[in-house]
Amino acid sequence: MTGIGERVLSVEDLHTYFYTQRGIVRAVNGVSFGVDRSRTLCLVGESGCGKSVAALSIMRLIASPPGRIVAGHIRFEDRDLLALDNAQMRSVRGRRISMIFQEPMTSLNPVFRIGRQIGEMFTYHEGMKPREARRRAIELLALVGIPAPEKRVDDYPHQLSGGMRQRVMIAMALASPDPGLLIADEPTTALDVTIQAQILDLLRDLQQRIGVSILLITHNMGVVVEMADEVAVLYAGRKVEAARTKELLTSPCHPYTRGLLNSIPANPKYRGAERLESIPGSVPNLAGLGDGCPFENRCPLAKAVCRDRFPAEQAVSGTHSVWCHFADAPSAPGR
Amino acid sequence: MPTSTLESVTSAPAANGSAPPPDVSLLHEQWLQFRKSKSALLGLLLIVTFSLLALFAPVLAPGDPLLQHLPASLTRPLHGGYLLGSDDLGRDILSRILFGSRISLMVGAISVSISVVAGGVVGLVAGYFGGALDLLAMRFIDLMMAFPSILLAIVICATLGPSLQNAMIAIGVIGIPSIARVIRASVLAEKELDYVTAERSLGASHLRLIFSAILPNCVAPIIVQSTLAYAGAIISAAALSFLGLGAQPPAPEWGAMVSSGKEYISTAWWVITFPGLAILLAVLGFNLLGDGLRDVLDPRMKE
Amino acid sequence: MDTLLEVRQVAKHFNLKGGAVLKAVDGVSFDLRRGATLGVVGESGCGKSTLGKTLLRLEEPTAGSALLDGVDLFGLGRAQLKAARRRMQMIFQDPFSSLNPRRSASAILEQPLVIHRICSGAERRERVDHLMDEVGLDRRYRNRYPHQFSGGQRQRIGIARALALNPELIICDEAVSALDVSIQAQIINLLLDLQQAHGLTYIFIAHDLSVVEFISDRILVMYLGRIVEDAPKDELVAKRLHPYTQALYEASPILDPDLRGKRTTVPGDLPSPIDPPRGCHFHPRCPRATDRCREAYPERKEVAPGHFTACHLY
Repeated sequence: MTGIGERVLSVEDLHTYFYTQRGIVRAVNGVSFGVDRSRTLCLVGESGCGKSVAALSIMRLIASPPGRIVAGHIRFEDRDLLALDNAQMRSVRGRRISMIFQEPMTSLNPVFRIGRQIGEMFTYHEGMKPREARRRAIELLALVGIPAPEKRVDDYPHQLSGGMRQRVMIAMALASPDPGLLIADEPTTALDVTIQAQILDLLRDLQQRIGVSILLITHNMGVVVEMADEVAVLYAGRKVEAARTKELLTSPCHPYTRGLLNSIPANPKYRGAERLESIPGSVPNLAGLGDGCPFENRCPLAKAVCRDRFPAEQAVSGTHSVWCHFADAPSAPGR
Repeated sequence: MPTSTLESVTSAPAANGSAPPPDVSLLHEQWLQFRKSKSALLGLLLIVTFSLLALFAPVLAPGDPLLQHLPASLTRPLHGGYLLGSDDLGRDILSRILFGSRISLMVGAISVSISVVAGGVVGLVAGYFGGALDLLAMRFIDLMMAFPSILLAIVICATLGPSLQNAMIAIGVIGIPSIARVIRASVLAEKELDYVTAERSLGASHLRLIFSAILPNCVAPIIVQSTLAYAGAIISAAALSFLGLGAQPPAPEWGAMVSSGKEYISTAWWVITFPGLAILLAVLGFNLLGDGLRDVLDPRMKE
Repeated sequence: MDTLLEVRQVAKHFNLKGGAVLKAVDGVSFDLRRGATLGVVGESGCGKSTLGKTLLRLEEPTAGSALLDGVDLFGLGRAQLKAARRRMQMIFQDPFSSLNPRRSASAILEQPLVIHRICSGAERRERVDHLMDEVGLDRRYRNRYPHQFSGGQRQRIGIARALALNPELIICDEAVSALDVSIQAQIINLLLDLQQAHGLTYIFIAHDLSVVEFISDRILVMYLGRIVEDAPKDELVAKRLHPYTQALYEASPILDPDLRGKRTTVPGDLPSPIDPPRGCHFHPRCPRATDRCREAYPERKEVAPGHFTACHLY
């Protein structure tokens, strides 16, 4: 058993590719990251950066074909998940590693009551009797802050609001007696902002109480600030910067990270401003990306070397790394 | 909420100003998709073959389909100059089948056209305007669907009088409900999309919205449904002729040939078999084509 | 003050099966100055999108009036409405469903010109090229179909379409909400540039308070079909009076890690507009609710110059 602060999940040099008509899409192209016990790591990035694919790779839920985990290691509590067979992986999924998604309506079965769906976790994984499972389900509903859980347990998913359904999803994810890791893929993106705040509070609270580790995937920097102990910034399948949250915000080194922070109207530098500083262009076509830095076509610092090869890791501090040929160039914008 | 589908980042053009890849219309991409399905291509082949046979029947047929030659009645295939044999009146079966394909394809084309036009109007109006019109139209459609369609066709044909024209009308009418439903469902879905609201906000009239904006996006289910309806039309035509209600003798309609051949089924099997095979292959062709089209057109629509 | 749009007590009610009434918009009034940006912010069910559609008569209003340069939009007949449509346009949220998949980009941009019979063939093509330049799209892409463009590019097409008729008022209905953050910034800048270049007036509808606070001159905060607070931007940013506005602010993304966990979260779900709470709509979730709040809906009062709110605390 790992103690607080020790590595619970370690993803090393993961490569997940999709073989499509338009070419090989390197959705995750050599990404490494880790989550510590009772801590939260955020994978942040925009469309196509590979964050969701990375999460699905950990759960080995990549549709194959056309996808395939081509290389890398995923170590969860000293076991290499990629080496497990299907039966072993099934026992890990839902018990030690759970996942919640963006759209709770499509993750919940609309024709079964929520009590039964939560109870399934117990009857399936632990062979519990239905009455006992129902009692546990009510306990879980209370744990995730659903009022009057004895009544709600017999509701159908459509009778609940979006925020409530997401709470039910969290309850299902935490149903096992010793949840090690919770992977949350954009859990609040589809929710209203005041409900989002409630769900994030809940996740933080649960982490404190139960000690679950969280891998949180989001495109929203505000969520990162609220939740993350550590952050990894992804772009077009590559990791470009990783740091503790505060470090990333106060001294972002990668031009993409800086550009991203600059694109947010909530950034304090825009008090009274008339325009935003935006990153020009858009994410390149993922099919047939070369070996260079994928940000090259939008980067103000790009030179020929950027097209040729992806930069090596540069340590900015003990907990802060960046992957850029020109990370400490003096004319870097956004400071 | 940003979408993160792989599709959006693999189809976007290069951002760095290099020459854009050639404009590929949706149609071209769909054709490429269609080519992949063997069964769809088989269906297409069958249809094209029958169409060519029908077109060039006068040239290809070895004899006159209506010419009787009683001494040579019920000749076996490959005997006496008859490739597929002759029927009870000595008529060349091959020629009759070739000319029969003209009738079947024509019946299919006309009746499906009737179904699509009439059903299309009903479906479009019901779907677009909704309310009382929709209610009325749909209850009427439900009424029609409550009858077994062939029974309805028989009733219509018998009422109007047995003839090929009336068979076409009858078959056209029984095809209306399914087409109307499909179009209505399609219109209901498209109508809610933002691009329709956008064209409304530009000041487009109802007519323009229905025909210029919505209809082109409903074409896919119409094509699929029409193709399948064609298959059904050929069977229905054959059935009506079999019962004596459709094509009248001596017209070489496949169903009529099956009907007149049924009494010789044990003595001269070829009289009923070859027309039956023709019906089978034609219907199969249309069904395969329809399925292939559905696979290509429908998933595309979901993207 | 040159007022372009005067909106008074606009209401849009939907009659549901079973006799219930959904009051999507329930008495909204505001003045919109020419060349300004009015931000409308709120969460699901607040009625902001319905308000935008009702003003454009894409939904038929239940009550109220909207005077565009003195002419009541709600009283116009079909022909007059079509002419009025040239002056006000909308940009939609979803870049995927807001463009007709069967039309090429140039056909989409020509549509407005064709509908209103403006320009001839060659002139139209020129105008389309010019529009594409203005929104930053490569002219060479004019014959492409929507599925071949990225989300940001599709949104640019939508903006170009809205500009085609040279409108005075553009309603942006969550126009940047479905875009990636970096693209969002580009599009916001584009909207600002176009506003400058053409003297456009915007109604900017969004659920993201920080975007609204950045782009607007004046802001309306909506909750369950009513305006709970409205003020000039600087006023609102400095003093968020209504507890709901404060809740929205507290829940919005901030970039200061020191504030983590210290922001107040408002409990409870968003009530349904079909059955709003009695009294002040916000009272079940309001941290400062009093008995009076449960009984009577508060009056809208001017608490500071130009700064109005409907709350019993003021």
